[in-house]
Amino acid sequence: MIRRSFFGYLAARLPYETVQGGLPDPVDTGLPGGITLQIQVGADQKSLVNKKKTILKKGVEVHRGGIYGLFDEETKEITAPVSGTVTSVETRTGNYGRHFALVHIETSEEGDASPAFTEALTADAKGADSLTFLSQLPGRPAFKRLAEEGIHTVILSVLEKDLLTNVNQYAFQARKADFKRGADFIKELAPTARVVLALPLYLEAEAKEIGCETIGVKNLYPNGNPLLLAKRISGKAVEAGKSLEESGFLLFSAEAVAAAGKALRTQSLPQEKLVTLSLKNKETKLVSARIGTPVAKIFEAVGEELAERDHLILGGPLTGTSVYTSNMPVSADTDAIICHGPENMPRLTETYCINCGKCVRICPAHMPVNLLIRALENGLYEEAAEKYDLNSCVECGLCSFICVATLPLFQQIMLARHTLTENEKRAEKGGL
Amino acid sequence: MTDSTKLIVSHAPFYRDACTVMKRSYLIMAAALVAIIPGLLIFGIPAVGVCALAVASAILWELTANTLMKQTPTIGDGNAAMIGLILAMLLPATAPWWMVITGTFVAVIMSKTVFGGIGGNPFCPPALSAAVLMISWPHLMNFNGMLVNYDMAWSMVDPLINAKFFGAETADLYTTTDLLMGHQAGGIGAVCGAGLIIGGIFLMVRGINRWEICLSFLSGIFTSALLFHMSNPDLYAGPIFHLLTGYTLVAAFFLATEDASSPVNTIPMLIYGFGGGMLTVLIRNKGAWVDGALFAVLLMNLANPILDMIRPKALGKV
Repeated sequence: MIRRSFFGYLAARLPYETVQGGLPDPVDTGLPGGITLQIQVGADQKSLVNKKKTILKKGVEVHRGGIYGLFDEETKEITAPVSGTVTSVETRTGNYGRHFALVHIETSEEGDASPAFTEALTADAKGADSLTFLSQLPGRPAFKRLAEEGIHTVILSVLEKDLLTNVNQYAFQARKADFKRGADFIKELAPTARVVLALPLYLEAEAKEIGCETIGVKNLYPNGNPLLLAKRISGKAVEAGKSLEESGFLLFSAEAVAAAGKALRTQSLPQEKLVTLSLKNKETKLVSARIGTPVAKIFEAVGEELAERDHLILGGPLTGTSVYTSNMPVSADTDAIICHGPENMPRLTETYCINCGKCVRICPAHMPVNLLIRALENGLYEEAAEKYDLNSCVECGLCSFICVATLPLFQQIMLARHTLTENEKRAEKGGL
Repeated sequence: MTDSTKLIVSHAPFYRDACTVMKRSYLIMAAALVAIIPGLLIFGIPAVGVCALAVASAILWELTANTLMKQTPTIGDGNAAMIGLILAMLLPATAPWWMVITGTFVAVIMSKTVFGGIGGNPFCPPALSAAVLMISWPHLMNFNGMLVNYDMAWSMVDPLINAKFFGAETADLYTTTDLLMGHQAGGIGAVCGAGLIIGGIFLMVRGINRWEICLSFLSGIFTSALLFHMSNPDLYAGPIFHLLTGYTLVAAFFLATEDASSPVNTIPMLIYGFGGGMLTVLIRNKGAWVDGALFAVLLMNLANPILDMIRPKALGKV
């Protein structure tokens, strides 16, 4: 799907999808018969879920737009996108040992939305209750974090997280009034912070109405990477190994900002997530699905069928996650769903690094990937972090994309970072 | 959460650039052939024999090593064949069969496989092997002696020997056109300057050779040869002569750029190439050997790990 230039000395150009020439309405997948909410939980909480010690358990009725806690009444963390009854709660282990609680809800008739959000808004639009609601919007905006101390720059990003998706550009263009309302709300919430709108160059002309400081960026991967955007905006890179939030940056995707604007306008929570679908016949479609809709249901709506040995990917082609079942739900931050046949399956080999230097050239973080991989293959993770800049990685996946020896570079890097954080956690626990 | 349709899972990224080690080896061999075919036309059947034997024995040596070490055969990646072909470029057309086989043994087993296979070799295998042959059997790597039976329309005296021992004016015997068309004595793939330049440009444009190395190597030769020539025009031949004779172009496009033994960051690549070019001319003009290109490449290979420590600061590193 990527056309490669004959001139190999040039860096590979990976343009993001664009939205130009008309804004077709997304395909609505309708109300699913059942949805699944996915909540990341800690390892200790996993056993609680398995022992059925959750508040949301089989038989509990949920109301659309209501907010619920998983373990206790006080910490509310889940908004229900549909009304219905919880049928079961189970756990799943995701990549890198992350645990998820899965709450299955059988949909009942679509009644009026729960008044909880409207009440919270009337009480105090900037209050903690209202922000908790807003943090659950499609795109997962970090409103709760924004209200806390220490955020000096807020990036409103119209750039995409990965290739093969254009939801942010669509949301920005099609829902501009809502986007402006959302952006103004963010400015009110954080009056001292610098709010910057980052958008592809071709959309720069449309940014005037928003009334923000803007920065135009070439629509090429990986320019939309949060860490790279932060560097571009502040002129100084986030310290290696620190997250964006720890350094005082927050990134809101355009879709999330528009959703917040709509929530404020309509006094109800939008629960439709925009997703770009890439089907087996290379067709792409923009769909709008209720958060929690199983992928199988979306495929049903667009007439795609999964066969044995297919590849199903949530998220983009460079940083997404491949999943083993089409019952996996769309979550608030799933921008793209890709499905392709086994013929497109990238093959890995047992070759060693041949030191061709392509990864070093393409790495946006200037890491010595060729030396790093030699340390990682031998499990020398600490040495890799100290000498070979492991912590500078922005997790774009380009090194693996370009690798001539088809080494799983990205996987090795992610594994090393995961192992190091786990070790740190363990050391902290031991220290206490 | 499970269902009956079994899907394939793997780690991101799900896109791959199409270039593979095999494709890379074949492209390098294709570029080498552009220079070798004129050589074959000039030197005839003996040269064909040397090339074929070098490629075949290199593959067999690698297969033998794989079998002895109980590894999955790696000959499929084309790297062994490529090493054999590049070594053949450096040999005289009349090289005896046992020397070719010894050469590929040194190139494949002693300079690649013992260091852990592809990507692990500290030296460029064909360069190391040719240097070993040159030191072990100097008379068999002497193009004057080896090509004595070739009676051509042009001078079959090795231009480098002429220039070294009979003064710089002998360089005028060889016109630039002759050197470009392969009208000189030399290795099978090293005589045709035009072919080497076309092949080299192809490799640089396709991004297989790092162009920084090739161009800085050539500019190193040019600069130092020019300085020598300016200091004493009677003793030292000019830069164009040095660029088109001996192993210069082979070294610039096929030996110095060998992946595992050359640096990957920009500044180290420039130092590596320029240093290699300068050493070549130094050894030619001041050293005991007629052609210094092989030794220059090997010496710079030795410096590669240290050179490659000069690298840009990673993102967010304090």
